Amino acid sequence: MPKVRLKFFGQYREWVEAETAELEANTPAEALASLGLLERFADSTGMLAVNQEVAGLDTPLNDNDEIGLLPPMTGG
Amino acid sequence: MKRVTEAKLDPAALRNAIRVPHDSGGLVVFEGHVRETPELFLDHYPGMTEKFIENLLREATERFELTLAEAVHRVGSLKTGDLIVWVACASPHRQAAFDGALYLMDHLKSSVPLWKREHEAWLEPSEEDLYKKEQWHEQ
Repeated sequence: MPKVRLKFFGQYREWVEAETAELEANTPAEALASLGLLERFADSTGMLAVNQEVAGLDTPLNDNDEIGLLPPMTGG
Repeated sequence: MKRVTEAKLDPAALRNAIRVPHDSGGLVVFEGHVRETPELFLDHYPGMTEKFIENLLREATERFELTLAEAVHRVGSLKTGDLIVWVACASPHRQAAFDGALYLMDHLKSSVPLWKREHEAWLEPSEEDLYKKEQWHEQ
């Protein structure tokens, strides 16, 4: 199973103790489920990225992929 | 031009750093400042935030036929009165430059990986900000 890294931003940083997590998963959905965060993420209105490209919960992952978890954006 | 920075933004230096093409009849520069607040923090996703801003500048340039489009966003800890965002748009006629600057600001508010924390709480995009962005895509 691919080894991947999750990065949390904004309010999602508060879901976890560290801002990054490393684990094994075939998809972002699997990665979030292993942290017990799949439902919480699915219920939120944020988005996710794989290697800084917008992706979905079922996007296939490869070794060393980086999953970014992005809450609703508030710049400007 | 660096698109995202923790360093204090100097509007005069930013203005001096751009070269407005000769076929531009109008240049619009917008400065966004931090309103009265005890503490404002801006989180971002290094690399991805810059990429989103670059894409936004390309979109605005194509849509409004701009001769110049620039944007710089501050991140990290900010104080009341600090310049948080700087946008410049030039075009042959003034309307497109105004529209381009407004389009960039309306999208920087809720379509670029940036997250504001104020008074220890992460902010949600306002209904008004989301509505203003959507308006551009209904025309």
